[in-house]
Amino acid sequence: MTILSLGFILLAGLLAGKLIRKIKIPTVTAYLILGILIGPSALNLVSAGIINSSGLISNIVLSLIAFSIGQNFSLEVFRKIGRPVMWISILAALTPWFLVTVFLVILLKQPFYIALLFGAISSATDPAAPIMVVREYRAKGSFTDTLLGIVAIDDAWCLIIFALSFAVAKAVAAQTISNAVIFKVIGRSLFEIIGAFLLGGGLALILAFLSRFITTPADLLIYTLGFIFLNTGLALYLNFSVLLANMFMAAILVNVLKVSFKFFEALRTIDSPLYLLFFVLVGANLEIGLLTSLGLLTMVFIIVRSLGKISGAYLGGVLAQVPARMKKHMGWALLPQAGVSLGVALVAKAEFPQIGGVIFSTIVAATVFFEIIGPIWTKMSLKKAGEI
Amino acid sequence: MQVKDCMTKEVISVKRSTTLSQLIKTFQKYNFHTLPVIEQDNRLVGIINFEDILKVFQPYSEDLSTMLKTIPFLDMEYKEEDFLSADISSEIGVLILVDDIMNTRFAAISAQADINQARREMKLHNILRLPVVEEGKLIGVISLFDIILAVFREKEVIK
Repeated sequence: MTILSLGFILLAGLLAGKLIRKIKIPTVTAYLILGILIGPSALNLVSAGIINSSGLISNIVLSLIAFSIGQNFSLEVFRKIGRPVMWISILAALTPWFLVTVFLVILLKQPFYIALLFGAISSATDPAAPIMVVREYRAKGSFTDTLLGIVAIDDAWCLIIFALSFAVAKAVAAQTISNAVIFKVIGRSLFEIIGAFLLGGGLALILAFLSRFITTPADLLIYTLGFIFLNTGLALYLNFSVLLANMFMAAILVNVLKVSFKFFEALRTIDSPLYLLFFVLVGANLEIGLLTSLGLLTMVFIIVRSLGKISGAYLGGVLAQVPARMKKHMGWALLPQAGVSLGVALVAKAEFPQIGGVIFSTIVAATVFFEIIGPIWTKMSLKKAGEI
Repeated sequence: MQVKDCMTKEVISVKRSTTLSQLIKTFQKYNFHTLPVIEQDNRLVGIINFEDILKVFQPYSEDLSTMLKTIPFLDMEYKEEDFLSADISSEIGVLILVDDIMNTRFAAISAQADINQARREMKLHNILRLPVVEEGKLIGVISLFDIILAVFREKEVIK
């Protein structure tokens, strides 16, 4: 049944992706909606075996995503992206993280570690929707270029913010059980983060050194995947951050090896079906029953995240001294949310089974909202900036 | 046998400042798929394939496109332009330079390397020609055909 479900998911996902592109919605949304439809909460068309393996698949896929995104952390990229993209992208990620965390603690009286996870997830912007709008309306100009630069680097900031917040959240959650003191929380978080850096960095050096013995494209793919799995497996075993370990492995690789691009290109040959499967499973994991009780939480999340994105982009614009139209409208263009935020929400769900369902379902509901409304805001801001 | 023993020393190359029109004419004239891009002092700074010409149709700058390609689940169609239906102006022949569309991520080989290593690199990167460098400067190009010729000469299949 599991293999039959896999075949069904891949083919139905392909069809759903083709259909949804006709109404100008990103393919990831099609996979998500398909997952919700065929999941246990709705039509129940996929085997329990597949649903139960969501944790395994999400760890594998998020490792690949983190590794792929990590290649942006090269000195060359940082030199090229420029101050406006750097400042606006960082503040448009940090501000929603801060505001959502604070509002959830103060307004909704949520425990700190839950609010922190919501905050971290809120920092991501879906790159697909703004790019689709830019392409659709043939937007051109400095606002468009800055917007695209921001969405290209944004996932990287989100993964870092999430990885750090996740480490702290786990330490804080453990503290409530064992009554450990504050330095234990800090110590445990630092252990997870520094350990990930050392593991990813060490493995990157070994990967680069031994790569001289790899002679064929097939071997290269096996070699790259092998190292990613080794890195992920060791990170899980040693309680280090999986996301940071893989990002750091990629970051070290691009900075020490001139031909590192070959590893990332090798992975591209196999990643599409894995991403499809991953996003369908994200949808299938949604517990629709939970949604009815989450109205207020979802509403606060949507409003505060939007406030955070808009004010964060404004602050970033002030620091980078960009023109007023960019400061005013950039945040609105960054509202779409999908991809990475769903992935990390699934990680949160797996780590915190008791409250994970609430976090995950809220994020899926907010994603559906942001993916439908977000592109409209992106279009409006491009229009107000005078670039369509 | 070392790469320097069988490489081609007279290399057709282009500069960063070569215009798109000049580049296309060079491709037409020499019928190579790949050309090295060098600085005034012969330093190898990039590689350009004739597929790279398609980048003039993409709506983003080359740096941005490189970054967008790292976004894992972005639909391919948003990363590339459909050039068959794109609007282009006749001025791009002089406005676009090799610098705008060349690849700065490329494979190269040292002149002292063994030809077995050159062949391995070609297989690994799925290419048929490799630029040969010494201290970062371009000193030749080695192709699969150069390797075949060298081997056949050594075995005295050809004189």
